[in-house]
Amino acid sequence: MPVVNKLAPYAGILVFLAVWEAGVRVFKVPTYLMPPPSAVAVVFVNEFPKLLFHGWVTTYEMLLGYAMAVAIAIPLAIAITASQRFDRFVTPQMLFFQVVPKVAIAPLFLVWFGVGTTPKVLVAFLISFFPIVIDASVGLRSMSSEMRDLARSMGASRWQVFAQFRLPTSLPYLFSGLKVAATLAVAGAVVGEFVGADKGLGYLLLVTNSNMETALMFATIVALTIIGLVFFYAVEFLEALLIPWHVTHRVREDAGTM
Amino acid sequence: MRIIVGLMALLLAAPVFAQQKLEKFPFRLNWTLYGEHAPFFVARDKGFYAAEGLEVEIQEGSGSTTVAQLVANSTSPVAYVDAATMMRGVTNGMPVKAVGVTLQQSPMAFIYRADAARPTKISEIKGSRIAITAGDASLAIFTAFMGKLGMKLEDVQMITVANPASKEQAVLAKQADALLGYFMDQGPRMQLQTGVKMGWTRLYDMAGVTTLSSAIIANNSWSQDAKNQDLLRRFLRASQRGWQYSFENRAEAAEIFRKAAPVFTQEIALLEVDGTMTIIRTERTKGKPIGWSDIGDWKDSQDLLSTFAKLNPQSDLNVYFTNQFLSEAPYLPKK
Repeated sequence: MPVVNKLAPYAGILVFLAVWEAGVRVFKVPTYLMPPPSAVAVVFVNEFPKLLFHGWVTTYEMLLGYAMAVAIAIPLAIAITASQRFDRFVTPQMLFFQVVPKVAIAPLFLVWFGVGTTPKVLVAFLISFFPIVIDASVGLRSMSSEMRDLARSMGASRWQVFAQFRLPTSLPYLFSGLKVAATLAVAGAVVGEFVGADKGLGYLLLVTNSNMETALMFATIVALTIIGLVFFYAVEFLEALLIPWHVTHRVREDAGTM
Repeated sequence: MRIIVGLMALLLAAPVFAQQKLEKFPFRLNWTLYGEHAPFFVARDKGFYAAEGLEVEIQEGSGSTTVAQLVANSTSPVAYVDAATMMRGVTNGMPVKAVGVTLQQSPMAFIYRADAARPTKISEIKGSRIAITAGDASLAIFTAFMGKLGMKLEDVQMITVANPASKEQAVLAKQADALLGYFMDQGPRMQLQTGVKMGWTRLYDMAGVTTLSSAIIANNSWSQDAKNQDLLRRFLRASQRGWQYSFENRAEAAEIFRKAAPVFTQEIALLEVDGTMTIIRTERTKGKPIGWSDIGDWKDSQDLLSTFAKLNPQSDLNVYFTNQFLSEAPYLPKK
């Protein structure tokens, strides 16, 4: 039974691919609309060096944007939760920048920063920044007052309360923000490349679409999906390392033993 | 005003027609407005479409690939698309066909700032930064161009941007050396809009590379229908008439076009119309009706694209085009 459970997701994917392949062949779907998965696989292997080159460009932009978002969002969240005045000062503007659609301002970045790495990193940054700030602030506010009173009564300093109580309680919230942001960062880098680029998977998507090389286009989408998934699970792995005590992990273990 | 006069003339000429409602006919262009489109506006404003019982709605497009996709999925059953781009679509299974080829030589050119002119000759191409708009007509012919010169696309630094304006901005801001565009479109227009002096070199002049260019294409299943065939014949006849009229009355065509595209000055619009009218026929189609294309030119285009741009050649060239819906001069409505 457990083996069957483990294989279930793979079987699901295989069935999906088989249906796709059969559908394209039976209904003779023209290649400009949808290539069969076998053709995509062949192209994926044949064009792997190209995908790797462009994939690395996109990964690099995404990681840089994400790292910037984390580096700025977390201190900002701490400042927001520490001072109500700062919160009132900064939150409306942050919200304003979040509400402006990134796709709409991305063309401006092209004019300001050219076609290099900078505009892509900035879009990835902008798009992944907000969920981290919000979730980190909620997390930092989530410590109960009883917990604080307890810590204080045991003689903890302000710093100790923060470092040993407030920060750890915020981690589960922070990580849900980090995970959402991880999936958004990939999209951000690709949006940046769509607007103007000379390399990267977003560039490859546009060129292949333009040339009607649908198989390579699908292979590019597969590559993007892989990058997104790997990044997401890397963050989740980090989460499991840092907060193994958290309820989401406990629940899963319980379910496993039942 | 002109429309009203046109309509009144129509009313006087054909009182029986008076109560007949015009049939709506959407027609999507390949691109944002430029001088090449003037003849369609002429056909509309001079009442040529109305005389055929049509109310043509001229819509802008965002690149031949994208527009060809809209034709393939029947969103816009009839549209204006680059022929080379359409050929690539047809070989990939798009159910579309050219029903009239208005530009029969390629106007594709490198367009650059005059103060940083590059590439002006073959030796300058390698390493140049070339901006293109993803989904427009340039990639198919540029690939063939590079192939014919023994180079690959990777030999230039190709910058793709998402919308028509961005490739112009990239060149103006010197983030790209040149853009791929039409010699009678971007060059004069950018000069006009920004005051920056522009220069251009046609791919044809550099390496003799040309293909059939802008064409009116239609969705195959749409054009199977007898009623649509009749619509298409009338639309093409009036369009041919508009092109003929524009050919003979360049200044008036430019003037009419400017009513739809007020950013153009008369000088630039006229320059674009004049440039357009130099490439509406090939050696083979001299003396033929406007839009009529020769199978030999389709063969040449296919040979070029299949040799140098990985186009999968079709044994039957008639999958690309048909002349059957076109009319003979003087393109007047049938009574």
